[in-house]
Amino acid sequence: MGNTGNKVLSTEIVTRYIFNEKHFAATKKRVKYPAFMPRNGETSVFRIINLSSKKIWDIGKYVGSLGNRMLQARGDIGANDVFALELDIEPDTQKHPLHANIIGWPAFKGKIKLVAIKLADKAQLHLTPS
Amino acid sequence: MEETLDYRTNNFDRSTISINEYLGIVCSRAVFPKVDTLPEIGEIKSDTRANLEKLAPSLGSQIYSWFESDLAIEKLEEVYRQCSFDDWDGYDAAAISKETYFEARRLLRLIPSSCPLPDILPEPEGEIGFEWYRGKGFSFVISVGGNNIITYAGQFGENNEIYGSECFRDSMPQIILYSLERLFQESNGKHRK
Repeated sequence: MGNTGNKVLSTEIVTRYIFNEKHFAATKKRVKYPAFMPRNGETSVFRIINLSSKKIWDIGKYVGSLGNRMLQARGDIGANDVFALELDIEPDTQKHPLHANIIGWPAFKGKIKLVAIKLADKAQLHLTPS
Repeated sequence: MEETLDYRTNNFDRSTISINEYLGIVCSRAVFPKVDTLPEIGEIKSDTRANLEKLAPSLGSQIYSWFESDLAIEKLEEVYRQCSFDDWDGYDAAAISKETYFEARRLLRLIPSSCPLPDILPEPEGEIGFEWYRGKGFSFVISVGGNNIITYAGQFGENNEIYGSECFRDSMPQIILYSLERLFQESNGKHRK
């Protein structure tokens, strides 16, 4: 397993598991901005550095099973890309040792949207293996 | 002087009243006129589609087929159906309310026919967003949440970005029409390079 509970380094990759089909475009291979928009000031992500592909998908399926949601895809993004947008990634290991939240979102809704657009542009889409 | 102001339209006779006098009249009655964010583009006299298109001529004369069909409404209804309950995204998202749905429907009708159909997307705070995506670094998004406010954000190439909010009355705010025009101009330029 990779880092657990420690400060997230800029060299790490975090992933956003996607459970809604409207939040990505499979044909264009892109994540759409609402996938990264925060709820109550946080965007839930998982730290995936040094994990195998299978392990990464297993975590996503586990997260989906908690809310009875089917995992559709995931969006990977470099922590450095998150930090570059003046956001922070805070480990939150109560639910899972690799869980973290993107925090530090702007107060203004329009700016939040713009930042989410930029994150989505940087993210790499992976579709759930069939 | 006061009689020259038509409160129904917020129009006044510029030849017989100074701007300070006009503002004095308006402020004393606590009635505020529509303020155009980009007044140089021109005035919207009504919410007719024809007038909206006059404001964004560079979007082209093409009329997209979605505009004449029920496709957009069907897509909007699908989003509402799928997301009208809490936690629709697995991350405790807020349900999309009926008010938000109807507001989005009203907004959809104000999109110029010369614009392609946007992606209609549910947002975690219960808003509905319309996204026009032209490639990395070139996109524009507007959203509503049932409170008569349109939130918008966009990027038009490197170091060219915009965000803000506008009151949603019965016409599309000019800043949004201008931004759509800009998106298609800038992204067309990018594709030509």
